[in-house]
Amino acid sequence: MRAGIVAAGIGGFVLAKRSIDKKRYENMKHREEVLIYTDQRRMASLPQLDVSKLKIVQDLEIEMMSDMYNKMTTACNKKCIPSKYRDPSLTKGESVCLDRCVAKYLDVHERIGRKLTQLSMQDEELIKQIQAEQ
Amino acid sequence: MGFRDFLLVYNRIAEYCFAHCIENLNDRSLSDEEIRCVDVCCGKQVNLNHKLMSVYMEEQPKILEKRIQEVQKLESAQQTTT
Repeated sequence: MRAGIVAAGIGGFVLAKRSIDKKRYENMKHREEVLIYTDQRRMASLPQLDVSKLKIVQDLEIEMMSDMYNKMTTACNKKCIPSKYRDPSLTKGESVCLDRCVAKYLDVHERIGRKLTQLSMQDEELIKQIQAEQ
Repeated sequence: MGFRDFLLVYNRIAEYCFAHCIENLNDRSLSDEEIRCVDVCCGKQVNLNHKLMSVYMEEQPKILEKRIQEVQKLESAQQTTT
């Protein structure tokens, strides 16, 4: 009788874990697709460059990504992990905090990028106007 | 090369505005206030950069000239001693 309850419990747990893992996998696949799609769109929006310049742009992008990654690491370290700790493993609170920190940092990074391109386009238009007036 | 500097400044602004504006990490998405703060911070940093650049362009030649004059004085002092 008790064995039956235990077996049912374990069975229920296994089924729940399977469905959660399946959902996580689908979410991950979806995120990958979105990433590939946005990457393609970004590359398509660049003006047509010859092969040598394209390589330079790609190298530059990789360098900037790693720079951003390092800055993000220090920022999230400062925000999420207290200065005094005794255990090397991450607590659940710290893991959740780091997850949110990365999401927010990437969001901020993207917004600032959009705003900077907007501002620089405004500057270019101003310069063109001034040149046209002269 | 100028584009590389621009990208470095972009990363620096992102780091600064993140540290300045994001206070708590209770949610995965940005709140409206945080978005507003980031916009303001970004504009401010850009204006700061412009101002610093313009003042630097003014002051740097003066410092360079002072240094050139010092070097010239040293050289003429050495020539008189030899």
